[in-house]
Amino acid sequence: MIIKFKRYLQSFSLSVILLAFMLMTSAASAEWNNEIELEYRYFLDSPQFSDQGQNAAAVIYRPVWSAVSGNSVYDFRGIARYDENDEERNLIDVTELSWLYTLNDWEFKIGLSKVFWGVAETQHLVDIVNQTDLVANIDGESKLGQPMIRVSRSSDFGVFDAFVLPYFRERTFAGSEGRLRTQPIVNTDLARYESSDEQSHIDYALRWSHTVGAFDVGLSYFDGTGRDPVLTISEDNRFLVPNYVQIQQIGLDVQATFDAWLWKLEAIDRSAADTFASESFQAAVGGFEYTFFNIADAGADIGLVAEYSYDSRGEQSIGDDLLFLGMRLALNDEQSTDLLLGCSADGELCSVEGSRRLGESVKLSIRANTFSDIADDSLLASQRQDDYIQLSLAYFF
Amino acid sequence: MKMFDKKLLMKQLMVPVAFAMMVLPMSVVAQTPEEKGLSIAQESDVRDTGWGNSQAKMKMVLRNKAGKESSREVRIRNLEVTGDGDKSISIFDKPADVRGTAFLSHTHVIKADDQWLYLPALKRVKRISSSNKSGPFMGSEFSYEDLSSQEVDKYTHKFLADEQLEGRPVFKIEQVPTYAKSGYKKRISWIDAEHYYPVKIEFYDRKESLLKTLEFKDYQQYLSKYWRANQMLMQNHQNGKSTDLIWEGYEFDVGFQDSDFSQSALKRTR
Repeated sequence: MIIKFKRYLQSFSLSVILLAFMLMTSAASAEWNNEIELEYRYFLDSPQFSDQGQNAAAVIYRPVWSAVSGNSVYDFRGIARYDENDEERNLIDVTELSWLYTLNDWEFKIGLSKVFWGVAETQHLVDIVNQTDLVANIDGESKLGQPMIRVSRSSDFGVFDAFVLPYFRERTFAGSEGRLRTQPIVNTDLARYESSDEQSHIDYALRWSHTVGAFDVGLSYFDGTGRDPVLTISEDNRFLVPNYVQIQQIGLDVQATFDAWLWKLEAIDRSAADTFASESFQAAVGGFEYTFFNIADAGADIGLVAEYSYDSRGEQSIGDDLLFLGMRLALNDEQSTDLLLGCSADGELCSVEGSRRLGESVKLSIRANTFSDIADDSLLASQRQDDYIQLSLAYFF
Repeated sequence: MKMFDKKLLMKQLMVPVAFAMMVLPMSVVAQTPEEKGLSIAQESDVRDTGWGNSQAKMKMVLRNKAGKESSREVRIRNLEVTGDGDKSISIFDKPADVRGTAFLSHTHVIKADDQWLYLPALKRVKRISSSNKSGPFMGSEFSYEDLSSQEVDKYTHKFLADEQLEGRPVFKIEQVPTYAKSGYKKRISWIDAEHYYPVKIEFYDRKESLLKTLEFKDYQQYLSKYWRANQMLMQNHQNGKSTDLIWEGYEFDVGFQDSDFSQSALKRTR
């Protein structure tokens, strides 16, 4: 894990120079902030596989630093995670180490960074620049840092972004001692690439985004190593092998905001050669969120969320013909208490996420995921006994 | 200051004109309470036009019924937009778990405001609904509508009486919200008769019971023209909670442009 991280940093030796540069910038506007999180997961059912445990504790440290000097913004965000059971969950990463320079309508960014594209809540189809840190949470919202050069131009016709992505990050997968894993496990050391450049393949991306009245629209194009690997069985049948193939993807994301209604759509068209049994496909996710604000003048909001997703690969994908229904509760109290409950319409997958601030600098979060009536041949069969409740306590200083 | 801004010049000329209209013709033509209320609101608006752009630090102290306090800190940048509502970016510094979260608002006089939220850990900009007017801002006793820019057309106005408040002459005005989803049936405002800034506002809920009282304290003048209260104290009479807004470091003519209030700018805000 450490070696891979070193390769990642070396891949962008500029970041070292950048770090020196950051340290030289005036400390007057610079600021360090830290977060330590203790995370505890309890699995309700006994494990399916012999190496797995009943519960798991992890500690996560996240330092954040930023400085502004003239037209420049310098950022650093790191993460260190230690899991008591699954060493594949251990992580040291720099998700942000970048220099952003603004000149009139132009923006230039160089360094390790993260971008988010898209509007949907249940799936992030369009969001393709950063690799997913899948072992952080199965929702796939945690990302790894990505070396990049970005040039942006704002105009009356929207914002145009161009990215050069000179290094590829591999997805994280749970190890044999971890719950929420595949069977057999994914052996990340066996990773294969379609491109002979492997992780050094240079990827490109373009994006145009614009707001016209109630509509926020984004159109994106990506050419390079696909972030989601095709998993194949190893020759000795002991492992799943991640195969990273070359893809071209066109993405569209649209949100329409009308009063308390948010209408959302993401669609992608992906082309890939049939190397490693990969294929071209189309996928989409769309739906709405409607919020009842300040119910009975008590301050609380209740939002209803419904999203439907389609994937032309059918049953080979988790995201095909999936209707997700959810409810979001925000108390808008002093402790910012909120709760999101949701289930797929067939009841197979349910999730709960909630949080509440304790005092001024501690946040308590709860998360639960359940898997019900998972068929033997389902892609989720290896996780059918992995219903869990997670409590985490984060301290900010 | 833009010296040759026609509209600004017009407005500056209108100040004495409006003043003259209020003082002189009153003895000749009787003004209805509605006309007088509207002219006071318009005068307040005119006097607070032309400030351009500003920034300030807002500290909120939330106090529950038992007197237990918690605090919030937000940096706010404002841009005056002629012909439409103003633009603002709010950057949250405290509480620590929301540090770096930023909020962009493009207000509009007639159509619904446009609002975006930036979540720094996810690097995500989310367009959010602006129809939440009456809900609490950050768990405080201020609602979103209390903190949004005060436009004349957002209320109907009715002059009630000339009064004295803390030894100064004030106009007492009744204001009824004209926009949808307000949490209030009406507000009673006391406006300083010399400077035309609000001194006190009482908020009445939809059942017309007194809900909250807001007091403006410690006014300071900027650019020899624009008055800003350093303290805004909100007391909720129904739940016993209160919130103090304390403003620090008000600066005008900071050099903000329209491009400093875009989604790109929201993402690079620190």
